[in-house]
Amino acid sequence: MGVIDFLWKVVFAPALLAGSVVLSIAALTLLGIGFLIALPTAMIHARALNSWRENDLDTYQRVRISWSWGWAIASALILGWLVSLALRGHITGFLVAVPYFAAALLTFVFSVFLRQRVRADLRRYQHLIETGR
Amino acid sequence: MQVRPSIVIGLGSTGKYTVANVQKFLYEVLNGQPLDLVHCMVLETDPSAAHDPSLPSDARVNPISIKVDNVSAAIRSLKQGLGDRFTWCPDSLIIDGPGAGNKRAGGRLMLFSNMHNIQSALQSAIGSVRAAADQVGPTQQINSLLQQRGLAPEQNVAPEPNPVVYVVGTLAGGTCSGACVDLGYLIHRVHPNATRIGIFTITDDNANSTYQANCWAALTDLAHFVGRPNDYDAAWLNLAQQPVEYGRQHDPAKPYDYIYLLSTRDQNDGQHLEHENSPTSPLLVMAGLFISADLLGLENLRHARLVNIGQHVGGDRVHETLFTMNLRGVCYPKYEITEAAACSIIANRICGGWLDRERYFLGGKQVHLEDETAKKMGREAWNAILPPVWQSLRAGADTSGLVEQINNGQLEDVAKTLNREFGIDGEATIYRMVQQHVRSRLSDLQIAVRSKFAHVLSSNQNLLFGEYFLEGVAEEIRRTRKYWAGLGVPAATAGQDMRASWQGELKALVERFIIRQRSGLVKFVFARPMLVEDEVGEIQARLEMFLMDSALGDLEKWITSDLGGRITMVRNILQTLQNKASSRVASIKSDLGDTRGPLLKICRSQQEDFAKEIQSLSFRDPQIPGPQFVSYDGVFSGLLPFQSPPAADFDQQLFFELKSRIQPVLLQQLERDGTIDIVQQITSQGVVGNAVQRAKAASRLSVPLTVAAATDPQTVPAYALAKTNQVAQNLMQVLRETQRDTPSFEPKPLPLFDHMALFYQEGANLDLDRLSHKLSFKSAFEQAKQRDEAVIDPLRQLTTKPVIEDGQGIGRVK
Repeated sequence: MGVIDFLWKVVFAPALLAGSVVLSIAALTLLGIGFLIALPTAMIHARALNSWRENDLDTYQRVRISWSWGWAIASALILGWLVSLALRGHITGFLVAVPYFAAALLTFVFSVFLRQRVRADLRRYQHLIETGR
Repeated sequence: MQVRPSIVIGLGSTGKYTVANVQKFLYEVLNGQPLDLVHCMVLETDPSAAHDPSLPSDARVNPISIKVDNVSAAIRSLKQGLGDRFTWCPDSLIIDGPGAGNKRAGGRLMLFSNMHNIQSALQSAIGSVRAAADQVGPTQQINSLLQQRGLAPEQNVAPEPNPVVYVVGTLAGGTCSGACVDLGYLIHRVHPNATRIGIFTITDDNANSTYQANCWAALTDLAHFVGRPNDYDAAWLNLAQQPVEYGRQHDPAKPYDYIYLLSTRDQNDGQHLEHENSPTSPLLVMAGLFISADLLGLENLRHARLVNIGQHVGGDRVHETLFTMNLRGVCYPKYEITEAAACSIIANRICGGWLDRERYFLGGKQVHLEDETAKKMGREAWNAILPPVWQSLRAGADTSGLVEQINNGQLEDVAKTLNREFGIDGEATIYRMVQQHVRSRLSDLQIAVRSKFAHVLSSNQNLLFGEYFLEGVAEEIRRTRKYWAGLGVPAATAGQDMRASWQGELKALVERFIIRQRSGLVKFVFARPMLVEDEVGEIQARLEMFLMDSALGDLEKWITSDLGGRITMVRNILQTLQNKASSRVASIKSDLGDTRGPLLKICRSQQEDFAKEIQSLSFRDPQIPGPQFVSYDGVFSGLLPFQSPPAADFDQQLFFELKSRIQPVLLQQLERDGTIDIVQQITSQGVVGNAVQRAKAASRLSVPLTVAAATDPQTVPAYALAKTNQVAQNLMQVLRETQRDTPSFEPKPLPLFDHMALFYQEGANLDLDRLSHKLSFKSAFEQAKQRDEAVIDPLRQLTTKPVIEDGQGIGRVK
């Protein structure tokens, strides 16, 4: 099974994948695809977010927010594609859907993690401001 | 009505107090507007003598001090410059105590030591009043007042260019008795055509012998030169210490054209008006009223009657010159009412408002004072103040070059560079570039806080509000510093160098930067250049916080100690002022009921008493705008002393200043209420009998005499003066209907004195032999002469011709 063939199966016919190792590799592959979705999303978002610099939100925090959105979009698209495959009858069992679930979950975790880090920093500043009163 | 350009010279403390009364009556009659035709001067040998507390600051005359502190040096100097011309002054002259020490030689010495200054002041004053007579301004000013009072305007108020100079003082002390003759001749030297009128108070036989001796010596000198004007000769030093002579080359002239003698006794030796060394002394009030009436029309009336006085008194020079007079009346006391209302406004509205702990002013209305409102204003002010000052902290500390070098990879060791630039106080490091601005930014912050503080005070006119505002600013500064500390910025600690702590914090920041710039999150979205810029900016901001922390600590302390201290200082002054103003109101109210003075005071109407009128007038507050109390334009300015600790008598100065701003407005408001019909009010308020008593008192003159003075209305002025001739006639009719023995006064108009009815009586045909207390005076003089002739008789070298009687009634009887 060549790489192209493997990728085609991962994306369009996951039911043809069998074995835990193959499914694990499929999950990592889907995670890579998620990254390819998150990257341009983050780039577009980061550029759009440049105007936030004026609001004293520094670049590092803005980049984190952009990546958080990128991973969230990637997670949503992976889940959306999974639903599409299921409706077309390409998901024959729960095991077949596991790589998709795993990839969607991990991208979602990345998104939430980054969001929480930004939130924690902002809350710390807010706390500093409020406790001064 | 005609007004002549006039100078009033108060000589000594009595003169000063009389001038204060003149100023007060002029202020009342002219609604607080100075008249350029009149100039007042005071020549004072006792600068410690108190001012009249009732006079507003713009109506007060700053005395020209002629006090000589080092008498022996002054004598030496004059002797050196004048030689034989100065032998009149004893070398051994010692002046103890205030003024001229009750020594005539002392008074004359002080005049001669300051002759040049006095001559200059006199020339300048005469020049200015004569110039005013050529202007239309005085005529317009008088006509405006006449129109306000429903009277016809005058074509030309001041047609006569030659001035009248009044000299007023007491002959009992040393200053006036020693200087009056020479001053009269100095005036003649400066302006030979000026009419010179001397108004001198004399003592009685109850006074101590020094006063009596001084009076007699001065009177005999005056009488001598009236009779023998050629005898006068004197020399003094000019500014270049060269001798200046009065000399006999001048036309022979009397020292004064008219001399009016006043005392506490009337013609029949009865007590009539008290005299003490105070501006409220009834005798000096009367003298002040006479001069002010003379300045504003009475002189014109009197002059017409006195022009032929010689024919009535037998052509004797002394009889033509020596007079006495008395002036009594009934008045609606506009000055006292407006002064009391002004003081009430100062005490209750101004001081009360600034010191109020419950309410403050907002848009001209008083609202309840809540501390949080003011503190919030302070916090908002701080947040508006800080950002622009903060921005300017970066001037010169440009980090864009450093950012560019990092982004272009030109730096070998980014961390080391950043730690050096932001952590080391070295040559041209960013640390030093920022640090150099800290002190000036602190100064900028102080200026901004002062400006906001002044604005808040002027808007709200309340010291407690200002204190709460400052508390709000200080709270916000503390909050700012706490925030910085929370970010990890080392807080300034007194006495400790915190640079090591900062360098530790900086190291952590640099490490974080290094980690972040390497982060894939940043690199993948090509955000590294922006990140570098932001992170370097963040490090710079932390450096600024570190360096400014100490400055903000200083600023907070400064707000509490400096601005807070200023508030305390102003509060103390306002409290003193409030007490002063309140006690002045009480004092005026009490004085309004006092009947000892020359004027009987009546209310505007039967229905109103003085207290009611003062209260209702004080509600018509002219409202001094807040910025006039305090404003800031680099320095604090305004009425309240926020800039620097004030002089010890500042509360007094402020009191006068506030009165001078409020009282004229209140006088105008009284004017708008319309004039009062004085005759109708005398009748309706049941004081006709009192008015008759005043008329009788006026007819009894002011000097005790052994031979009755000439008082016939055809010989000397004997006038009933009121707003118009008709009102004066009505007044006399009412008085005669009540008491047939009311003295006879000729009705005359004195239009500017529309709130008064005055009884004026002059007495002529006087000489020194006719003074009741002559023997007592003469005896005291002889004793003083035996003790030290040179001290009691400094003009003896000019008056030594032993003339007892020369056929012209000249009273040289020393």
